[in-house]
Amino acid sequence: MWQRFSFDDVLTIGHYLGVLTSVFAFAFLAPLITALLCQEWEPLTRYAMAAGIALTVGTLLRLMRVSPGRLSHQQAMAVTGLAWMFLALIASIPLALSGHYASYLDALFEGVSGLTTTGASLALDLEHMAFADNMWRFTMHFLGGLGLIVVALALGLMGSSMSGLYSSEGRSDHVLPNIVSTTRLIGRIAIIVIAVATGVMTLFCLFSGMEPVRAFFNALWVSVSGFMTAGFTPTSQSISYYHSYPLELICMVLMLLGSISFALLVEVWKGRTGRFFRDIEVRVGFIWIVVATLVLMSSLAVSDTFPNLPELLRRGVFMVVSAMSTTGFSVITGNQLVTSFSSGALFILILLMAVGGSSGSTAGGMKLMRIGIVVKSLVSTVKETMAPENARVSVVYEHMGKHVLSTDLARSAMTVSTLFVVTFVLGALAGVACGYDAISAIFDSVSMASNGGLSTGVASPGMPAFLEGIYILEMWAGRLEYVTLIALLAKMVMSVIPRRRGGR
Amino acid sequence: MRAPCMIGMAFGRMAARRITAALLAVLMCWCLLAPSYAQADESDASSGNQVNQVQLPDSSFLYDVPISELVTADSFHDEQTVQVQGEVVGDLIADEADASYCWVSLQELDSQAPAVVSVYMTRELAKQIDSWGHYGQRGTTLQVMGTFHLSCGVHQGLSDIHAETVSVVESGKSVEYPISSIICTLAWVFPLVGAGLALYYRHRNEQER
Repeated sequence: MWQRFSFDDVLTIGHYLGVLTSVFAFAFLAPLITALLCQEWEPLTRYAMAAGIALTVGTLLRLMRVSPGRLSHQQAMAVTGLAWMFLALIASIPLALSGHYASYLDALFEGVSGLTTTGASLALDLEHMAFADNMWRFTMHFLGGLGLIVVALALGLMGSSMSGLYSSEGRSDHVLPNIVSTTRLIGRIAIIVIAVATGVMTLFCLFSGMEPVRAFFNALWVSVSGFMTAGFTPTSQSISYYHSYPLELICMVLMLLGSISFALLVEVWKGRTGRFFRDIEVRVGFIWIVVATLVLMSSLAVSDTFPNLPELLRRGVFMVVSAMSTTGFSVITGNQLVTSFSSGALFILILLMAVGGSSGSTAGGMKLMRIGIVVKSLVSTVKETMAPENARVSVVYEHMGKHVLSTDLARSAMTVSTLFVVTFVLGALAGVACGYDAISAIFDSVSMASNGGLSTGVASPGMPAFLEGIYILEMWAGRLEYVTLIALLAKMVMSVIPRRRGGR
Repeated sequence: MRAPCMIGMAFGRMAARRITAALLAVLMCWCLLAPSYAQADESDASSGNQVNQVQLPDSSFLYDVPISELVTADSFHDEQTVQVQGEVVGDLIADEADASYCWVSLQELDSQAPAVVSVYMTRELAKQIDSWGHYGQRGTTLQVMGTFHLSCGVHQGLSDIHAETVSVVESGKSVEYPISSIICTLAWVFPLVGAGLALYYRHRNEQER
């Protein structure tokens, strides 16, 4: 029997959405302060208005139920699922009024892309965008990369309703026994890594000839985008704008760090490197990245695009890391992707984005853990087939300790992986229906659903509104890893359908 | 009597034809074999109008193209000499390998979704740039002629234009962004309303405890 939301549930969900929205108002302080410091008065008014709207709407929602009590698991799932889209709707308001987006839908696409850390952009004339607007884009990346719920939990905003919210956002790793401590540790790690990267990148930008203020902001934004494996850049040329190999290396390090589970990063910090190297995701990821790099290099070497090995490695390895971590940084143009890259090379990038990074990291995709579980499940099936009838076969994997592979875990991994693939196909069909060629449609569909951000040019200003809507749904679903979103949508639909007589 | 006259007339016609043919042959021979004379101005000999004996045949043509066509088209313009016009945006980025060269980003003019291309030029050429486009500033408009590379073999596969000549079309200027009175008003109204509601919520929360 399908569960429905009661009116009581709606009031409680509304209250907690209001909590998130009210706190989201304070996130607008980042672009507000930037506008003040840079004397950008027009953006200042937009962000002051947006902060006021968030506070007003958030408080009205909280007034729906002043003392809501503890969240049930179902309610937590609804809050998590709706929060991403609800906050994106508010986040898009100042962007839509900036003049850099053709429509509110384009600004909403940017908002969803920013919060879900996809990184695909529909901004027009990025080179003339205000510092305040850019600061907002990267603030969305920071909040979305950490996780909206993680941020709320770290600030102690959700009361005692923690565990359900935390896991509804696709988080499974408990770095520390206490969830609030875990979320605060994740935040501290992110801030430290971004601060160090910003300092180093600022120096390289200064050496390359940029002005100090521009060097600092570019370094900060690229560091946030890299570690959050997000993908926005302050220019339309992505990382190739900087013409700097050291900067590309720093970006690769950030992307790799961002695609590793926070829990494993803490283990390495504490000196327990053995756990890191025995981890199923690290092993699967290492083998996968080596195989993909070799195949991509072979595919590119056949064409005359990159005539010698150092050039091949510089561009090819960067694109492999960017795709695998689902960041979306690029050192080649979208035109080069479809003209200079062979279809085989594009296929490798598609697979890399589809698989993605580690669970418990900022990366998207199906996750290395699920691929590892599916492979282990295959091994288990083969072992059971070959074993005597009365033998008991168990397969063990290592991830933050040794675990036995259970049928529930294998089924869950298969289900989510299948949902990813179905979404890839449906998004590709939508692209083909809008007149794009198959490879480009598949590439961009996978990029959206796995929150990758690379594009062959399908996701660009002027794209059909229907396809834009499909991609927004894909980004949203991919961030929540489907089960939460599907369960939420099913429950919402059942809640509005009148009950049949007989109570069924 | 008639026969001798006719024979005489026939002989006369034949002779005329032969004479005419001979004159035509002489004329043709004269046209083919006589040296040609160019009506050249004598002053050209001193103006440097000389044939370059070592110039190789040049199969490239100059294409005047919009930047968006370079950025989105296939390999048609690859390795061709192109001429583009655009606004200088962003920063002057020093080349990693050669300090006398730099990178300039050129953005398409008059487009709703302007495309950008990287231009590789000498620092000497870049000195003509008086303004870099960013928020509140329109950069110098340049006309650049150079070779377009879809994947440059010198620059690790980057898409770029190697500039040969650069000229300034229009200087940069500052740009004002007007503040909307409606948004300015709402920028005061919404925060005040939100703050008021937050205080009311706090009051209600304390009452319910």
